[in-house]
Amino acid sequence: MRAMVVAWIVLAAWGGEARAAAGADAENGKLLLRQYGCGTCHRIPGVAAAQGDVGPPLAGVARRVYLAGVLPNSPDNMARWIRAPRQYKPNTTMPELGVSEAQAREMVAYLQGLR
Amino acid sequence: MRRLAKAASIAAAIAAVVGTIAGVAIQSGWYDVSAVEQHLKPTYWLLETAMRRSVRVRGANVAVPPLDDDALARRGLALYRRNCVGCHGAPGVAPEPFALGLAPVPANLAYTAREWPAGDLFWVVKYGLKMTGMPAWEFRMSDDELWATVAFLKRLPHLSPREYEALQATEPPPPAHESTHADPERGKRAMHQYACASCHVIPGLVGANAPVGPPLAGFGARAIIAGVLPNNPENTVRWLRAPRQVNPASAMPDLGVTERDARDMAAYLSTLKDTR
Repeated sequence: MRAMVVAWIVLAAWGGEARAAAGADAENGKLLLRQYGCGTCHRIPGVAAAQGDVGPPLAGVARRVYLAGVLPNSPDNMARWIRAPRQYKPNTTMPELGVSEAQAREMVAYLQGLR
Repeated sequence: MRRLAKAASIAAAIAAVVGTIAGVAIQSGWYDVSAVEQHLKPTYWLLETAMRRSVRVRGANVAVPPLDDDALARRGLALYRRNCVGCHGAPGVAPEPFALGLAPVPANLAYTAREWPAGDLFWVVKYGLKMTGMPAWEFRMSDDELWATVAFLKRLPHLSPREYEALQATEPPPPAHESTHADPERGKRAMHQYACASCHVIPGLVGANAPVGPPLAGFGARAIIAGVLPNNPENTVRWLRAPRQVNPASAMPDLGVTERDARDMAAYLSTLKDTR
């Protein structure tokens, strides 16, 4: 019994640390989503000003199977899409906003939490 | 009064016990849903009887036109060979292998057509049967075509395999152009019939609602469709009918949506203003 409790605490602490690192990225990501004006076109839970109805809402985007109808959803593909949407869908309304690789990663960290 | 209260508490206790047993049975995965394991005999009887009664009650209200017409039956044969024979077979013709793996096994229609009134046959072909392989043909055949099919079905029990083989089918004429008024309620039915809810969460539709594509709540308030087209009825129709023409890389397939069905679906989608 005691061993189980100890194991549980160790696991919880370990998971907590990983979560904290991901959490910092995600927090930055949320900030970046605001800074790049994503909310002008998308509704994004947790980003108060993001009430746009131009593109699809991003609630639950982490569970979606396809991104923009063209890319299978994965953290890598999401980062690619954010950086260069027109490369994957030339006629898309979504503009290329000059997001860096690192910034896209942090945005993805936040968006992948929207389940 | 006291006896009533006692009876009520006993009923509540029984309901709780039955509910618990049902809950455990469901949660434990006890019932085998595979198509290989047969139904228990009482289960089969229950499903079959409930289906038969449901169809009988609804089929009784169908107004049956004259069906004893060779030309009509020949058009029905063309439709039968295209849409039905794969699962139901025909005199001397086996169903396709995949159909033999269905549960319930598709009925032999020579028997069904002999036993069932024409109104019941029409009702089943038009609206389909839940939880069986029987699809609804409402959005795939006009009423004229459905009646032609029924006219042929009514002849089926009297055909020998040789006669069936020798029969000449005539292609039915293309369906006449129907109503031009967009009907959101019909559009909602059409969305169910084109399986839209297997990839989208759609308010008003019960289904898998899998998040394959974006949710359609708030579609009516959205500015752009599929990231490329300004949202208006014409563009919605265009997108619904030929998504891959608008965006060749799209995961959304062309589903063969008719102009009328697309117009009705667009009308329904435009009513979805609330994003939640």
